[in-house]
Amino acid sequence: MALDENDQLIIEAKAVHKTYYTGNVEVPALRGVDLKVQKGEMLAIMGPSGCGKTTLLNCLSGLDTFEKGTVSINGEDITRLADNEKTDFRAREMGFVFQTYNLLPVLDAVENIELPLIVSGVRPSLARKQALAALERVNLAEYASHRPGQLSGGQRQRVTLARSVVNTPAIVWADEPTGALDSQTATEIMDLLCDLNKKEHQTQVIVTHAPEVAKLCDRTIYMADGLIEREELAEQTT
Amino acid sequence: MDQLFGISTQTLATACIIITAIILGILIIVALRNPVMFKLGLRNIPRRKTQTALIIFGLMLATVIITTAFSTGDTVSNSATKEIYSLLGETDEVIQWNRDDFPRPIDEQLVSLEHLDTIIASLKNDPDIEGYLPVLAEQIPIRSRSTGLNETKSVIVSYPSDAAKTFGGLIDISGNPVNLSGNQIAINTDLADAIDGKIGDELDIFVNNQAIPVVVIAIVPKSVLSGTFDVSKGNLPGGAVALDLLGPALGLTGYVQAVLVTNTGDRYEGMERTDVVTEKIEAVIAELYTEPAGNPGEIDPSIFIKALEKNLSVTSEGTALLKDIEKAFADPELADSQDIVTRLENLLPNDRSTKKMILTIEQALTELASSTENGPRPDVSEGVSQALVGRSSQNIAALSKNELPLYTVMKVKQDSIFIADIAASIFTTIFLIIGLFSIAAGILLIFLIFIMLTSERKPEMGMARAVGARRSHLIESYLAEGMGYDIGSAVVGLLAGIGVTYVMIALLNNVGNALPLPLTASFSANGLIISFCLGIIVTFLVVVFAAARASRINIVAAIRDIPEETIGGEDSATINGYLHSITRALVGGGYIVAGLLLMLRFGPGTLPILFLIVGAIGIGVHSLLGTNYGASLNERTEGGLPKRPLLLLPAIPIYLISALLVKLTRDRRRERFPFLLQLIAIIFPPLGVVVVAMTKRERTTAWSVGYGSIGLFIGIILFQWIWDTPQLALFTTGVSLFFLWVAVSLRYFEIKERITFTIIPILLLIFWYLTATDAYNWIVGELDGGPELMFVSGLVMVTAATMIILYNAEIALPLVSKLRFGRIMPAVKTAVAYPLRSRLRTGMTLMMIGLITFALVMVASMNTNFAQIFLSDDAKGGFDIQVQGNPETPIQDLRETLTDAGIKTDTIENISRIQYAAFYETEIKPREAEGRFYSYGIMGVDDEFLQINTLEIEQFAQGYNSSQEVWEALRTNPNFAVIPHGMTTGTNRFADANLLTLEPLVDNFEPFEISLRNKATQEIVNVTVIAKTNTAGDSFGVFMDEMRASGAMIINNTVFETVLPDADLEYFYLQTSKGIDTDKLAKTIESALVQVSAESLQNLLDDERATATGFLLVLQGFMGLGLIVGIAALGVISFRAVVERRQQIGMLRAIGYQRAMIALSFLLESGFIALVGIALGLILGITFSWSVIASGGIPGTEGASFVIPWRYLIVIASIAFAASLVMTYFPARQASKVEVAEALRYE
Repeated sequence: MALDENDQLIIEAKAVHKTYYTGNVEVPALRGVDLKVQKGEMLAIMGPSGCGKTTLLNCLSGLDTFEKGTVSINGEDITRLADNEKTDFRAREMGFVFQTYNLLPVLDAVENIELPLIVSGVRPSLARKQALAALERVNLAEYASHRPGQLSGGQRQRVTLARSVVNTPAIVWADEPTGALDSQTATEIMDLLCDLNKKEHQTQVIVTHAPEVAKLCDRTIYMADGLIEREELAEQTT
Repeated sequence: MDQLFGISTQTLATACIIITAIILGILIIVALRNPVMFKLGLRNIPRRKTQTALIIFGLMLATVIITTAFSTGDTVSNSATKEIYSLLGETDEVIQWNRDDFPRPIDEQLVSLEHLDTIIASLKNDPDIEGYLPVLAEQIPIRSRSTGLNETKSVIVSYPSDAAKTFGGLIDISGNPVNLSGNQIAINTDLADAIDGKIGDELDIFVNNQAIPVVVIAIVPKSVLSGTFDVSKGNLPGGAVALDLLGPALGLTGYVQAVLVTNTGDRYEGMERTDVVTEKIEAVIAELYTEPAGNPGEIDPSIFIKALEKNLSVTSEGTALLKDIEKAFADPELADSQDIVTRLENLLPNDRSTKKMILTIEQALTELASSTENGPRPDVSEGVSQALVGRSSQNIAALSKNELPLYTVMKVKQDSIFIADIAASIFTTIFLIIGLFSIAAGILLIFLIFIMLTSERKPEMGMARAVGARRSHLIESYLAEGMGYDIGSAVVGLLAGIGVTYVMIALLNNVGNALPLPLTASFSANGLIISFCLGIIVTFLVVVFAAARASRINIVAAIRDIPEETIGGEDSATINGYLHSITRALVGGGYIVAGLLLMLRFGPGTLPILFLIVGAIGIGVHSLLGTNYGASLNERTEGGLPKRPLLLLPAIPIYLISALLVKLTRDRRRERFPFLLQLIAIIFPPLGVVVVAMTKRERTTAWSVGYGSIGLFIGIILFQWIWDTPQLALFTTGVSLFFLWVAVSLRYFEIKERITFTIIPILLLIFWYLTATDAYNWIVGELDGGPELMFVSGLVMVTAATMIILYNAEIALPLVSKLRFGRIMPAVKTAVAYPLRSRLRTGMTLMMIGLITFALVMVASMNTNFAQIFLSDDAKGGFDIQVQGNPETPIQDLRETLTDAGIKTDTIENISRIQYAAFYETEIKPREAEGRFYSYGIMGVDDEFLQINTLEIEQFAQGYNSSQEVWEALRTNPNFAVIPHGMTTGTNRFADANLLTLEPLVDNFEPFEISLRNKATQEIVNVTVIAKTNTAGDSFGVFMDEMRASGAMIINNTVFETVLPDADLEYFYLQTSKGIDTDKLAKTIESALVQVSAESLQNLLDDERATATGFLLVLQGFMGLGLIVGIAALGVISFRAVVERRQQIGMLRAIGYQRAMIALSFLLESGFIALVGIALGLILGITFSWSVIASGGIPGTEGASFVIPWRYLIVIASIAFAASLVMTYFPARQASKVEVAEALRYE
């Protein structure tokens, strides 16, 4: 999707500072990051290891706290929210995809997918229905009763994808979604993400090392030493 | 305590020290050989402090439980011993009338002073004997004129005060000597308490209905010199008066009831001379004062077997000996009587009656042996005689001429201490058996902890293996860590055990009148050593097993921390693979187990020794197979024979043979062997070892099948064993092992696990429920059950039920999804999913909690039901007050006596009189039966009793249909009798009385005759049994002091007075008007009539119940320790889960789980496991105790209805559940505090 100045802003970060403390050592991870993301935009965050990509994603999504700055999602300043409010906000508005899938090994595919719905108070029968539908969308309907241990890496990531979108969130945060996958499976997963972005008009923020993943996004920001060094639109990404 | 399970505690302690030293030696060697891996293990200990604390806490519980069990035994033993020394003082032996051989009325059982003088003269200047004290002793009622209180059962003694000085003399409580003269009395502390006595009080003592006024001049401690003869009783009111007061009052001149003997040395050293002194005095008596014995030819050897049972059946060794004696009688030709005598001597007290038993047994054996076709067996009699020579040659000589001594020498001190030791051993055994549940739970906990530790370290260990560490290195590292926890926890456990013992003893001291003496916590070095070492040994074994299991890792899977795939060999699920697995397991320890078992069962022989030797070589081969030395040519690198087993010197030859065998076979390995050869290899151990040595190392072995099959072998031997030792535990364990083998075999042949591990456990449960009935009698006959059965049943049933739950739990998941839990639904979902799918952890935790709950429920349930059966209100027989008369001052008409004493009797509706002859006065046998008479108590009841008592009849003879009809028949036909319920059930092994047991009666039985013999006069009368009472009939007698063991036969008093004119115990049973305060009335009667003691029956019943309940609570408290194990397990699992699931927690938080929901999920998860475990234990415990009670599996419970002790169960379940939640609260809180972003990091 092309960037449109008139599109509504969904994520706005201002001067976000985050420091890690390891014993007596202070490690500044974010040193005043400013970022704006439009609704329906697919944004890639790239940069070398330790530059603060994942930290930024965690701070933007409310998974992590930071010392200075503000983050607004849909106009709501999440830094002002209490922990429980932030959690509810995440359940309603966000989906997550992680490199290591983070599926519950004791639940089968469909149970994993329906968890965010159940957390949001959706009736179990309805949650099951929606979870199966989400599984269908990632072409894994026949694996509904398989547990993560019985699925391949790609299949597991597809289940994660289905889980991240089952509650039709406004934003999907993906941290290295293809990091543990071979190139063919990675392409499949990215196709799925792009498809969801287009069809559902979902905002997606993807942390990645892979240029081919970034190439599929509307915009890519490059980070270094806790700051956004530069950004490129889709056409410019190499 | 000197012995446990028949083994001396000194031997046990030595064995424990040796094994512990070996363990520590192994550790030192490991540390020196490979300090890096050793340190790697040790450094893990301080890594997570909370977890380490929890692990040490969990591990120490086994030591705590063992320490408490031993220390309780030691405390009982020491307290009793201390009390015995204090009561008996310098007295070591007592000379008294030989009432066994020459029965006489009790007041005629006297020692002639003239005879005593001769005995003393014969032993003049004997270096072992310090002095003699002739004593008059009489049970006499006493009333205090000062306080108006009385005591009916005081034993008043009198003796020459000069002679008493050798015995320490009479000393008051302040330590001052007391000299009695004229009408002075010294009362002991118990009597002083009973009558509120003080110095200067005026008392009346009643002798032959005459009141003699006396003045209290001293309060003295309880001792044999102040009337304490029966050291086994708790309350011993008594006193001493001058000889010239009591002698004339009793009308005794020239005779005394007993002569005390003190040996040279103080009260402790003197006892060591007891055997010598007894021998000497008995020899003099046997020479001078003997009379022809009754009819020795009539003696039936089974009398002695019965009598021996009392002492021998306490230990397994004794039980085995009894069996051998029985066998010897059945086949005297083959009997090894020398062996029997030696074992009897080792197990029995060295007293005169024992010698007589042994001699009689020997006589019987000789007689039987010489009557066989092969002629006499001189070795039989010679062996026994030789064994007896040196004990009392004079005595044997007297016996051999059919003459028996008039007096007997009782080794009072030695025997009392021996009995105290047996009592202590029983206490320890009870506590250990009950503690076994907790120990089993503790072992599961240790195993669980190490499973989790190893799974945590899997990636590290995978890396270590990848860079060249061997499996043995991993084991050594785990061992270092495990033993670090182990030794620490054994020390803490020992200290905690000592603390728990103090609590237990304080509780026991407060349990009504269960104990006859106050206990003071004390500990023996042996007990503490055994407890400490056993703690270390048990943990070491579990750690080794867990470490060996954990070291078998797939390196890649371990590094990536992914589940290991099951590697199926190409011969999986084949017969050949099955036989290979069995052979491999046999070589890897199975032959040793089989050899030891065969040796235990059949004694040392060629076969067991062959098994042991080949088994040892097998272990050597087994250990070498995994080494470079055992590798085939193409895999082998440089290097020789591993040296480590050479440290054990005796094992060197065996090890060298193993090494040679491996060397010869390592380059000739084959994939597999023909079926027949593989089969023969199992049966013929040497071939088995060769076959294993020659099988390719890579061949997959199904160890569960191998060890399961060894279990089957053990099961078969146990099953076979019951033909010699009919023990239910052998049968049930054998059959349970068979089921286990079936299950592992079916699994090996790939029958669906869920089906196998559902159907087999269900069958196993059915089998166990039926063991309580007679269902298997047609196969195995009648088998005996002991307390160990409770543990075996609990272990097997809880394991079976856990299997059923684990393999079918997934059915519950969809059900949970369908239930509505509102906002907590997400927490419920994860809380249920985790435990249901982590089978091993959940299974072990379920078992821990289930086992302990089962034990608690079984004990509570059985106790409640026994109380219900034996202590129900029916036991009062429709009466309200019991009045016990005094033989010295008999009462003919109580109502008249009461009226004379100024008591209004209008509230007393009925008074029945019961005369009682104790077991030492009477004996009975079925008239038609051959053989001996048995001691048994008899009640002679009056018409009033027969008209108004409400005791229920359980079984009627033909022609009788109601209890009223039976009692009326007994009233109108004095030659009838009613027997108590207990007479048709088991023998009470802990009482001398009631040795006769009849076959169970059927309804409408044919009336039969019982012969009743007066022991003193030998007069016999025959009575016809027309009914049997229910259990209340047994308990009715519990209120009579003389017959606490169980009931007595009820006959009409007219027959009683005819055959037992000298039986002078009398009781009155009063029925009062409704609404009367029976306790108050009893007290009024007691204070008005000095010669009686009166008690409200409700009070007596309540006391008995309180004792039962109190003891139950102490046991429950002890078992509660085990519950801590289960709860600790939940804590360990939860803490571990927080660590393991960190990322998952992060993810859950990311997708919307709030902190509270994460915490709730953890709490619910533990709560769910605790709830299922508790429910499992409750259901099994209730149903199994129901099946035991309902089937009448325990003597006395036939036909009883089952009561569920809901109150106890609710308390037990609630405490267990609440404690498990409290324990999980901390890890749950920790989980909820996990920072999301931090948790989601995956580097």
